[in-house]
Parts: sequence; structure tokens; C-alpha cells
Amino acid sequence: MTDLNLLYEAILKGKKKTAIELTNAALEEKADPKSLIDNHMIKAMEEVGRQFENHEIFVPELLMAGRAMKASLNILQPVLQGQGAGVSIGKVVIGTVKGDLHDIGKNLVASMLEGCGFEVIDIGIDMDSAKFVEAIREHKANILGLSALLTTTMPYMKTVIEALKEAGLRDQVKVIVGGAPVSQSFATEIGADGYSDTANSAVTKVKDLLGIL
Amino acid sequence: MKITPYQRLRAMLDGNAKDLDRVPNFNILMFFAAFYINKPFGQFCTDYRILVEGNLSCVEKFDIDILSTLSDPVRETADFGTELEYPEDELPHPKKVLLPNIEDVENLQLFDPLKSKRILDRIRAIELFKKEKNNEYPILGWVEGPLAEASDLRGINESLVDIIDDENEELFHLLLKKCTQEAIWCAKAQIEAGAHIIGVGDAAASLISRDLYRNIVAPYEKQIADAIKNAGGIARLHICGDINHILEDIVNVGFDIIDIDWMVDMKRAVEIFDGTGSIINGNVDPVAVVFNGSTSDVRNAVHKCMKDSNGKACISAGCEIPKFTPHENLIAFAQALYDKF
Repeated sequence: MTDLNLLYEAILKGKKKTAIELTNAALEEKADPKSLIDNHMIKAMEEVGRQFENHEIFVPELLMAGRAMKASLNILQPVLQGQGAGVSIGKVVIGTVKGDLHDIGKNLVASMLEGCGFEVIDIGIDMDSAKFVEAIREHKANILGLSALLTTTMPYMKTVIEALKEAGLRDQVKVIVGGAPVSQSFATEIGADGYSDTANSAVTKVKDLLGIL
Repeated sequence: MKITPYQRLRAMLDGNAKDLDRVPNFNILMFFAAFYINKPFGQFCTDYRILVEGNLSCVEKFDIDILSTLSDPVRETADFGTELEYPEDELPHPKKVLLPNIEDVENLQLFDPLKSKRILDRIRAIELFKKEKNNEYPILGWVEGPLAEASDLRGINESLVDIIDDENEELFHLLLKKCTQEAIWCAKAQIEAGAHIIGVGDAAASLISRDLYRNIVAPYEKQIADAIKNAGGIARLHICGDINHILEDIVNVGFDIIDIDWMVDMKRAVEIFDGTGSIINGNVDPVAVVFNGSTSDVRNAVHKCMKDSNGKACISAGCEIPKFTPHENLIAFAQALYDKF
């Protein structure tokens, strides 16, 4: 019988190969995929988030954990879909705004959200408002995450929010913003619904906005 | 006799700051300098004459004590062979990474700085600064640190996985080794051209744990610092972001000037480096204070840095001065440095 605590440990420590082996072994033993995700994998990513927030681990460890999580999810998702069950607790479109090419912060947030059960559509960097509107419309996302690292590009977040209003989508999606120069007061000023300064608090903020907490 | 910015820095480094009129103003200008002279940032990055004009105009207007050759982090990246996009008014950036697979590292060729394109442009900037101001101002050359350059060549996400992934250990060290050797060549060429200081930008190092920094990155940074000092230059380390957790390890790397960003504890940093022969530079918040704050916010923040460092640090914003910073804030920054406590 597979020790599922080892799956938790494998994701926590970013051991992708081990996570894949244990996930496959658990499935062969007819483990419930939803239970694997909810009770072991998401719990591991929550612990990763806690350790990251407390500076016990840093970006490489977080990326490795995200990679292990994703590898296991890729095995489990087809099984869940075959059972007619979904794994996502919410859908997030995320991207870095026009003129800005930075993606590490955005990727960390995407990785944590994915690890904590959200479906994440990462549309990339240097994205104009039309691309964000198109993605929200296409994917019917609940959340839009906007990232910027530059003071010259952060005002574009407001342009995206205005574009959502013009497209009649603003009421259907909550907007969170983040990035080194971004602050809560800036978020409030441009009409965003939330702001977070770390990948972990982004997850908490998204859950809060969707009433999942 | 009026003291020059170069003499001001020399006094700081020699531990004779007490009798100075003020500590050095070490603000870094890039986008701001181009905007100040109404030139597109793309030109600032590709034409040393524009970069020099922008910096010379700003240091005089805003009482800054350093002539910088900084523009963007991908000069070496381009000269290694990465194809860049040069938008008119944005940062140049790779069209795609040069080393999508870690195995590609084996074929990475080093380049001669004097036969390069973008590092040679920086060398030309140093020569022009030297011609215009000789030794009145310290001239700041620049190279990318080992982890920063590895990240520019591989992609930041990939390099931060490589650094911890046992499977790639040997090849990732080869990449760091090549980036370090190139940084040493580029640093030496800039010192020979007249640079007094060589800044080593290694921002990605703020994203890794203390163990990874100490065991993997610091030894390569030390090779660069030693080479700069052996060539007669002043070695300056710039890691933007939160480096509170690696400050003690940076001591052993041996840089003369250590930049700290706004989230680093100035008081603690100065204490850690006190008596080591290195000095701290920083650390006003560039966005919340310098860009978004009032002149009074700027003055208060500069005063706090001066008090926390007890006159033993150069003062600057934690990172680049934002493009649209109000001029009165930069003037207030410079004036505040003359206040005594």
C-alpha cells in the first residue's frame, strides 16, 4: 500500500520523479484521485506557501514543488475527467501587462494557484488589454491576475480594468494586481478588487474574493 | 577647495567620511536620464553618446556623485549571441533565450569585449565620460553577475530550477563558470578604458536561499570581485530585492560597495559590514518614496538612511530612479544629504 504521506513529502520537497511514481502507484491501488489532490497534494502546496512566506524556502524550492505538483496533476486530471469530475475550484487568467517582460512573480503566483486547486490560464507577458478581455471571455474566468514590475507599466493595469468595463465583463470577474512597485493604495486607486505582495497571499486573496475560505 | 564626487567616494572608502560636506549621492539613472533629455530609451541603450549626455545632464542638475553606464541587463546576453528586440522606448529584450536546453551550455562561446557590440558601446561610454570629466566623478562600469547572466541566457525560471536540480548540476556550474569568465574579461576591459568602479548586477541572487547563495553563487561572485580589485577597480555588488538573509555571506565575497534595496535593514547591514573595509549604499524606497512621495517624504527617508547608517553609507534609492519621478523629489533627495544631525 502506497504511503500517501510520501506523496505529500515528494511535492513539498519538489521531487518530481518520486511524485509521479507515487501517484501512479496510488492510482493502481485504486486510490480516489480527488482525495489524493485534496488531502495530500494541495496540503503539500499549502505548506510550500507557508514556508515561502516565512522565508524558510525560496523561489527555486517553490518552482520545484510546483513542477512536482503539476506532474502529478497531469496524471490525475484525465482520470478525474473520465469520472466526470472536475478538479478546479476556480478559473484564473493571469498575465503581465503591456510593455513589461517580467514573469517570475506572475509564474510564482500561477504555480501556487494551480497547486492549490485553481485552473490557471497564463497568457504570458507584454499583454495588451484586448488580450486580457479576449482571455476572460474565452475561458469564462472568475479571476484576472495582473502583474507589473515597472513603474512605467503599472498604470496599464488601469487600462485593462477600463477595457473590461467597456466589454461589459467587469462584473463577471474579480481583478487582483501585484508586482514590486504595486501597493494596496494603487490597487484601490485603479479599481482593482485585490492586491497581494506574495504568491501565498495571492492564493488567500483569490479564495477570499471567491468566498472559498 | 570644493571636494569632487570622486574624492567624496574615496574618503568614504578610506573611512574618512567624518569631515565630508556630505555622503555620496549614488542614485542610479536609466529610463529617467533618457527621459530627462527627451531621447527614446532605445537610443539610450544603443548609443553611448546619448547615455553619456543623459547622465552628464542629470548629475549636474541633481547633484549626483557618479557617472553610470547602466542601461539594461542584456548587454552581455546580446554579445553572447542572443538576438534582441530593441523597442523604441522600452527595455531591450531577447526574442528567445539563447540556451533553451541546459545541454546547449557546452556550445556557448565566450566573446572578446573589444570586438563585441553592446559591451564595446559601454566601453565607449566610459571613454567619453573620462574625456569629459576625467577623474572628477567616479565612472561606473557594469557587468552582469553569474546568476543574473545565467538567467538571461537560460530564462529565469529555468535557471532557478537548474540551480537546485541535481540532474543539471555539472552543466549549470559550467554555465556559471562561463558567465563568470566573461564578466571578468568585460570588467577588466572597462577598467582599462577608465572605469573606477565596476558594478556587478546579480538580482536573481535575492531569490535563492542562503545555502544556495553561499555554496553556489558566492564563490563565482568572489572571483569577479577579486578580478576587479586586482585590476585596480572598486568592486560594487548590486542585488536588488530582499537580501537580508544573505548579508553575512556577502561579507566574505569581498566587494567594496554593497548596494541594498529598500526592504533591507540599513542599520543591520551597516553593523554587519562595519570594520570589513566594505561600505553600504542605499536604500530609500524608489517607488513609494522617491516616485510617489512628497519632497518631505523624500527628505525624511534620506535622513533616516543617514541616521541608520551613522554617516557610514552612500545614499541612493534602493534601485533605479523611476522614469517619471518628479524633479523636485530628486532635488530634495540631494539637498537632504547636506543636513547634519
